[in-house]
Amino acid sequence: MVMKHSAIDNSHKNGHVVQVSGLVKLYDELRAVDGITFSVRRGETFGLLGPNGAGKTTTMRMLAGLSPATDGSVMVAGMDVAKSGRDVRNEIGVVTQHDGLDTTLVVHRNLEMHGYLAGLSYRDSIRRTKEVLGFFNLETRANASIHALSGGMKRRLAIARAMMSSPQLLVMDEPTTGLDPQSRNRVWEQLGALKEAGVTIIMSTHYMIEAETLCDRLAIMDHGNILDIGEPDEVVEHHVGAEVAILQLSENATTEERAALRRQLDAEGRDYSEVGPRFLVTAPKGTKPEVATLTGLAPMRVTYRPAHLEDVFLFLTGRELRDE
Amino acid sequence: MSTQVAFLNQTRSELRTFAGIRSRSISALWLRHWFAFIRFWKYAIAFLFVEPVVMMIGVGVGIGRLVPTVPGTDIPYPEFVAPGIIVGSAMFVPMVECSMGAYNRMENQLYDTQLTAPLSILEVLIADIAFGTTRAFISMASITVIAVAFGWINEWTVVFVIIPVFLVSVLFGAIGFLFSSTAPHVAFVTLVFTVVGTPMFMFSGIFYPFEVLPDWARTISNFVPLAPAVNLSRAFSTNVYEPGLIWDVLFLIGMIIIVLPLSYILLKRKLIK
Repeated sequence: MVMKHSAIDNSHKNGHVVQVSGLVKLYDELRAVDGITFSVRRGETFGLLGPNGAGKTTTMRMLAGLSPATDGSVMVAGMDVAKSGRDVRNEIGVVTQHDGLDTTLVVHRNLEMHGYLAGLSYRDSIRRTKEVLGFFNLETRANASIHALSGGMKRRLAIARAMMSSPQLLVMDEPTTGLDPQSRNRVWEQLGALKEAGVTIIMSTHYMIEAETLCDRLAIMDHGNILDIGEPDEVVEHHVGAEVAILQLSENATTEERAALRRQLDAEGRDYSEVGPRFLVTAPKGTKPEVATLTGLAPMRVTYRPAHLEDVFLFLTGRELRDE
Repeated sequence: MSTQVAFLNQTRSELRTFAGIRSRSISALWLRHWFAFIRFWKYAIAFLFVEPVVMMIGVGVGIGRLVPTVPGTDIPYPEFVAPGIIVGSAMFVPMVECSMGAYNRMENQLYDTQLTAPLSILEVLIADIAFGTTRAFISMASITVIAVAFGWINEWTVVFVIIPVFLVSVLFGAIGFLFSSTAPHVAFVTLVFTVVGTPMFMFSGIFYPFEVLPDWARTISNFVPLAPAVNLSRAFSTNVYEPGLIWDVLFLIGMIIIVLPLSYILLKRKLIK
């Protein structure tokens, strides 16, 4: 059962860089975003998690003033995005889901042109390009064609471009999607350094480990709603407890035994999910899942592991496949 | 204790706008186009110089041998054709920039990225058309130099051809955006050449005077938007003027007043969802 008890975050009214209130986005009949409310504190890294089509990208586009809201409001640095979209974009850096790199220009020109477009003098833009390329370990590729860059380099360049105007708020839509683990780690290191330097970051991601690693707080979204919001540990603790019991059915388990196990779990009102031959059983609010009433129903091996964010994600959003 | 990152401690830029237009947005986008243009300058030269120059020499020297003068006049055929080719080229260059070029930028999410900076859709439109106009000026200069060198244009007043070239560039740049902003796929964008470019080129009086056309075709030709520009170009190239030229200017301005806002509305609808 999806819980919406904390979908509205009233934790702070002041010191917030971003305040989103009752935000709605309609595309014809589709409610892509359905009245969400949250806020982000200065210096915080805030994550938006959700399956495809949850409304993350639409939310971030409205937040950056790239898409008008149907209803509700977004305040960024004290400015109403609906009225002052240009001023808001002067204050923030945005990394879109697609790199959007200018393939007709070489690497350093991509940055120089964005800096100049953002309002730097041309000389300052050239100087900052060198600094930003150094920070993102791209200085040796300054004269390279965009086509010659790896996926990780392109993503880092996209983030570097967003940093050209020295924004204090960075909005990133899936910054590491499609990257190999090494490239992802490199991006995390650099985002970590920006966070350490005081940059406020709002990011969407599909990777739970990324959210756990980088985010101070996060919101889990689905079908345009925020299902829960809080610190990663809090959210895990609240929904799936400290540990997950893994009931690994043996190869001899029959379909009937499997069905009996399922009936028993349902009868006891337990929270569980099925992953192939395994049943993952959780118990909210810090308790360890008891499985004594289940072990006799089918041949199985029982192990425990610490609960993590992915358990919450699947618990809240289900296992149904989504398409954008 | 926070980490020091040098580029985060920079002074921020201020937004300066005049009548709601930020000049920096336009100059920066124009500069971006210029760098993209000169990076592939060899190909750009082929499009800007070689094609129109080859066409002009082919028509002027080739057909000019068959038709020494325009029938009923003593005007040598190359002198009749050259001013028209200047504005014909000025039509195609910004139209390509704002149709195929803009469509590619849409497909590559380049506009999406640019719009994360503090610029507006109107500034994007102005900058792209401005760059198309710049390329049209370059094309105009190259063709004019050839025409003067061959003795097909002999009047210094040819410098004022920049006026119809400017008007044509803005008008057909905006028309290019009508196609790129509404195109469901790239094949649609190519229609701009089939249904706009080629008919304009052939039926605007570049290659023959309207007097040779039957009455019905002559009536239609009066409403071909390139035709007034051909009249103006021919007037400035020959330094011969008629009162009707003022209507040609007004017609082009009127077309711009109609098409430019429409292209803005369609581009905005395309980019802001």
